[in-house]
Amino acid sequence: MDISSRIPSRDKLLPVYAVIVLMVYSWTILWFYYKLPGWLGFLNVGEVFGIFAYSMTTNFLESLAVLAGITLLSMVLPRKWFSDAFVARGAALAILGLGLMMYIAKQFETKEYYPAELIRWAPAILVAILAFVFLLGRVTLARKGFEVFADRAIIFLYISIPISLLSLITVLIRVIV
Amino acid sequence: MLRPSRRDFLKLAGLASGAAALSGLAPGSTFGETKLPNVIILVFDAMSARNLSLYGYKRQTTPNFEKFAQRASLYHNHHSGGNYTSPGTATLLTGTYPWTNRAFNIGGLIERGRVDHNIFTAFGDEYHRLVYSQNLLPNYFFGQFDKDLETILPPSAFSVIAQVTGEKIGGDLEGGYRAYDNFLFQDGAPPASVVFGLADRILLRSREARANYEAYPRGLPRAGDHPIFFQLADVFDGLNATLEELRSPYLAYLHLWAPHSPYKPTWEFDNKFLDNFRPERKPDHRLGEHTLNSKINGRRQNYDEYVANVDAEFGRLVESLEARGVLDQSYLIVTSDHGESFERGVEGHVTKLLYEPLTHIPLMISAPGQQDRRDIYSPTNHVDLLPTLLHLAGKPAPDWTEGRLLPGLGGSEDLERPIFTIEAKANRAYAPLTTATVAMVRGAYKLIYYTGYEKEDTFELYDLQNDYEELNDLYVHQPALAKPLEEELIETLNSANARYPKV
Repeated sequence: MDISSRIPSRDKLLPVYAVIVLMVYSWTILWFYYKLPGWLGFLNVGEVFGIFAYSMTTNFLESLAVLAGITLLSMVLPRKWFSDAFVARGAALAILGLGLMMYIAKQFETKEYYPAELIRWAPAILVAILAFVFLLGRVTLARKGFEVFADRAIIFLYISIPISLLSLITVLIRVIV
Repeated sequence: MLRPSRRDFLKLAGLASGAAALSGLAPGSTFGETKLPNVIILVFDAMSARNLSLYGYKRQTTPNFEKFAQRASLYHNHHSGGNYTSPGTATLLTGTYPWTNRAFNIGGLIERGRVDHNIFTAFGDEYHRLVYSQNLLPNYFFGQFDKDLETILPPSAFSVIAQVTGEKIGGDLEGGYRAYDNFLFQDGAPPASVVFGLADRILLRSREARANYEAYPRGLPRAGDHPIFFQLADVFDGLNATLEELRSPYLAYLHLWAPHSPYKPTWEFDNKFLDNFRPERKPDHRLGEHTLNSKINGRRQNYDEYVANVDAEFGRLVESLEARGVLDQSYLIVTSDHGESFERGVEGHVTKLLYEPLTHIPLMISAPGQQDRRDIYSPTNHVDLLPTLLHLAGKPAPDWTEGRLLPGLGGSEDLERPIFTIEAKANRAYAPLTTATVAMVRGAYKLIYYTGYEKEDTFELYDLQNDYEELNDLYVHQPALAKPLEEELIETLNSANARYPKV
């Protein structure tokens, strides 16, 4: 079997990627705005933009990594489980999976506290999410809903991709020069 | 406690000046033009002079410091430029006060137009200039100074576990530390990177859980919020080995995290001070944190034990340096960036207050081959280190420094000279200081000015010679004494503020 034939088409990858971007970038930008007033007290605009550039570059790599993970899952699992409704299932998995990660990340409020129990249960929760995502693909209304949402999210790519590429160039210049 | 009388104070100050004039410590006398002395600056983070038996503290926390002092100039009235790492270190490295170098915010930077005004640039490239700090805050400065540094040891060096991402961004250290270690992968707060940052946190915790804690009953020492776990002995051994490999002449700035919190000594020092010592109880300050006194005293005990642990490792390092003849070729400067408070409801140093435990820091300087002890009692400040060290290396003091040559090392006693400590983290770096605490020591007196915190600005005045614990505020009762000091402090602050437009 030609494994490359199981890679979803660009039309299917883009909406899923857009949802991932929406989740990953939003989280970082939220914290960025939380820190921004403090930074503006002692950093100049160029230095703040430098942090932003590193952040967007990291988000770019993160979002590609998550997309690669979802794509790999789709290639490994039987078609009926995931690939047949890749956009809806991919988008739902991105929202729920990244949502779980955000919830866990939020627990790291102090350096002393470690959400050990939550992290121990995380693989089981992820399996439950996968099962939910599988079932969701079989419910037409839900599937359509996620597809429409993912399709609408593509608009964010028109912002995120240029910003990420500009940020990547900025980071490279800062590191090399 | 060691509390010299005013007569002793003046007598010793005069003796120190005379000794300096007659001593062979002036630059060029010990070393010819071809052989420059090495300079090793050893900074212990958050080490208060008030908790060292070296300076008369009741608990025997520093027998090895005391031994080392027998061959060093010991400064009894040395003060930091700020009450935490950024201003404290910036003052030392630039020879300017925080209101000039502007590094008074947490994670703040040296004013961009003054980046070349630092000790490394001033020493020049005939010295091999090496820096190391376990604390990330000075690493921001190193990123600013990097063109004048031959070696920047990463903060993770000599650690057991470390996940410092910024240090891997070689070409942009300052940006890397700030973006990754202070934001995307930060610990002590949710990581701003939800995928890589979270993975980084989980990996760190899992490595921490698997680490060998045998030598440390309270867990491995950690560099605060920074993802660096270390054993004290490893750090000292690592620095010792690093110095051994350096080519002379070198200027090495070595900034250790210890004895900064969390205070985690080895078994040998844990509970070493289970004694009946009860420091004088002081009333909570209205601008303090109102921490319970019982908790503060418990933490003081932990701190003292950790200081004793650091002292033992320091003793081991000095023995090794001595055996290898390093001390015959080097100035060894032992100091801190700021103090630590265990009084008035304040535990630690993140505070608006500037009492002596927070600002009075150790300073010992051992000259090459020095075998005698010199005690200097006149007030000195970290701004003085830069011009003094340059002088010792045979270089002129730059005109931009606000410091003077230290008495006993080229400078003379000036008991009436004012020195300052500034706490201003609530202010913008590009604006006048409007919410701040400024302490001015002049001779035996210390004036503390609180501005912007409450409806009215307030002052406190203490006689440090006769009121070592700063319990008797003279401000209201001795207006004739207070007024000129007040005017001088306000005038100096206004002068510093005049450079910045009001916003």
